[in-house]
Amino acid sequence: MSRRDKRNIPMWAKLGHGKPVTRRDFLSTGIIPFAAWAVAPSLATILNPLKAYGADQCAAAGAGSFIPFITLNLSGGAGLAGQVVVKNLQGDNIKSYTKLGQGNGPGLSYNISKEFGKVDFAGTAIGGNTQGNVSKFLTGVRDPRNQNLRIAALDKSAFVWQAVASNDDTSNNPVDVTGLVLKMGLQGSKLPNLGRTDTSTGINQKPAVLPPPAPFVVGNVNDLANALGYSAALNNLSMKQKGALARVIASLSGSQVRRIGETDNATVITNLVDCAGIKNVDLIATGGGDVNPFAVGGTVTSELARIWGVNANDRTSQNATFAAMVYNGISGNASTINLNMGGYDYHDNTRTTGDTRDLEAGRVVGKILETAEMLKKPVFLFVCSDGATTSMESGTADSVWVSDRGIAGIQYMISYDPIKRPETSSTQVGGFNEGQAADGKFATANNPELAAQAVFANYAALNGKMDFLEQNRILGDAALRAQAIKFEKG
Amino acid sequence: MTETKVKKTITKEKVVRLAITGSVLAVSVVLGFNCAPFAGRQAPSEMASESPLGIEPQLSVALMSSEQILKAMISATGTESLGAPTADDELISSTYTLRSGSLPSENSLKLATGPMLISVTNLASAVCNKAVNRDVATAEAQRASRLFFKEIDFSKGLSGQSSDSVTPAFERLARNAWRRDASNAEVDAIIEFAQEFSDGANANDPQQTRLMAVSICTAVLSSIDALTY
Repeated sequence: MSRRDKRNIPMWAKLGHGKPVTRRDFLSTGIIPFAAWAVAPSLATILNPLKAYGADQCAAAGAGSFIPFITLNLSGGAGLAGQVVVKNLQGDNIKSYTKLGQGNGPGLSYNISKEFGKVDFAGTAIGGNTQGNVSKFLTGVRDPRNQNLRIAALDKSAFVWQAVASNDDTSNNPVDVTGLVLKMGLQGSKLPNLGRTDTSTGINQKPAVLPPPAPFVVGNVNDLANALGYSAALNNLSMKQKGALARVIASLSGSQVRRIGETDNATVITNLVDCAGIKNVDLIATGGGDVNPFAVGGTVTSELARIWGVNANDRTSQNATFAAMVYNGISGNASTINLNMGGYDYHDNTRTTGDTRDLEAGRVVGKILETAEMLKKPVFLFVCSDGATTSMESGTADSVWVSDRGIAGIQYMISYDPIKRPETSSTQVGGFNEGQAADGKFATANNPELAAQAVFANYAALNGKMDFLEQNRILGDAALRAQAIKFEKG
Repeated sequence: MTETKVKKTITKEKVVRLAITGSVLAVSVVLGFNCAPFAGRQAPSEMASESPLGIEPQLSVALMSSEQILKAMISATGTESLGAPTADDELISSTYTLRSGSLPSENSLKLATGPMLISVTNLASAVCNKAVNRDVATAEAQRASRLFFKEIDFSKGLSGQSSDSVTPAFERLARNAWRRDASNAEVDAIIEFAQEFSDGANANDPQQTRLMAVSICTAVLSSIDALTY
């Protein structure tokens, strides 16, 4: 049969029934000789590239066993070391905290307040003009909606800080570890890695070691809702017709991209693209499901709105957008979630601006932990910044932030488990020296990219993936990994 | 430092300007895409090295950026606008603006994620809507002067169409968007699609014929060969 003849099939709509599509149909029409069907490859497999390539192969790529990973970047150089009571490499208090906004130190200018089981934070002030805790981050994380209620999720969360110097006020620190997290295997069932800024990482940080795929930049909740639907001139298509369109696009693209892969010997990339098209077939059919958690209604919507303090109709505020992104990350719809908050270059010779920002950061962290608790899912949260800040030297814990001071930087790693608080062998990676700066005697202290590897190593350890660290020489050798990994798989 | 967010929006005027310059771009885009990237194609063995962390090899094919995609779609369908913006132009403009956040900002094929492909499909549908409306506006008696859908009778429903009317339109679209002839398998896939599209639809509704034409065009403009160079 010539190509032209083959195409010259009867007008299908006039036939009253569809073209033969199943093996039974073809057998009945005599197109496949009966004797041949048993040994012939499935005709559906030949005709349908989706099946030929293997929708199963794409489905198998979903990796729901990894702990959801969220990064919160405080852009500008937050005074994170002014929130916890940083220690030296031996785990003891340093002699003075005057440059860290904490005055003379614990017992002298403030009382220690323990949280996350055994982590020392700067609690109520002794002297000075501070109201409440010196650490506004602590205040925010404990009580994200200012209701005089400490959230229960803290009882199942562990916290480790890491001392690391980084460059001030720049998006060029290699801190983002989402490339590694994705490489290890975390995948979203519906969405890729999400970010907030139009950068290679979705936050104002450069990738460490391995760049992630370009993130899907979420400007507001509607971006998520729109991400998985056909609209524009396709509004009037029935769901069945939309499904058929998604299938034919996946079919055409699949064969085209596989040809590229074969030519360039780069099947890993082309398989990703192929699978994206195949997954879209299901996504279009389901309309994206709960990708917009504020649209699904019921407990999910009401609880999420309560936790984040937003109206369920809010599609544009930072809290609503964060809530939707965090929901998608923790629920497994998306892979990594990168959140970015601006305004952390707050050394304006006041304490007020910094306190407000630190409180806000703490509240966001508290809301993330509460979201995980609501969903009964674990989460690993990485809080980072670019550089740090210094206070005017003072004996009291209320002195103003006056300048950048990247050598006094720290990062937070927080892990929530719905069953029990994750075990940690220590609450710190590295430490501070008597100059109130990250102590360079520890390998990661002056190397942000190595410190980022330490963060990733802790995440991998929590996931029981030590073999991935060894195979890919993360953090160099086993000795450094042993020093830097504080989280233990439960 | 305040949060920086570069908006990849494109103004309505810019879309119109793109459309006006489309005919020039049609030449430059096609020539550019056909020649340059393939000139230096390397042997597979030279491109397959992987680091321990599996950094992917370079591909000889690159994904178009968001603006390139829009230009290529307009060029392929001949939907340049020479006058004041029409409702169809408004739809293209608003769709581009709405979807710009998930259209590719760089040229790596790895950016072809699920949401990105869906955004491209939506943008393609807006461009195709204009292309189909233009062909529909040409009276049935002058069908031969249409650009793509010469064999389709838009005054009739799907029952008035056949694979013989769908296939040539698809092949013309493919030639413009993919810069090559459609393969037999691709023709079969589009006929299969037309069949699926028709099943269960109102067979006598001319609107369904228009929607099928938009969908076939959309499928062509949304597939990988239309998005790469």
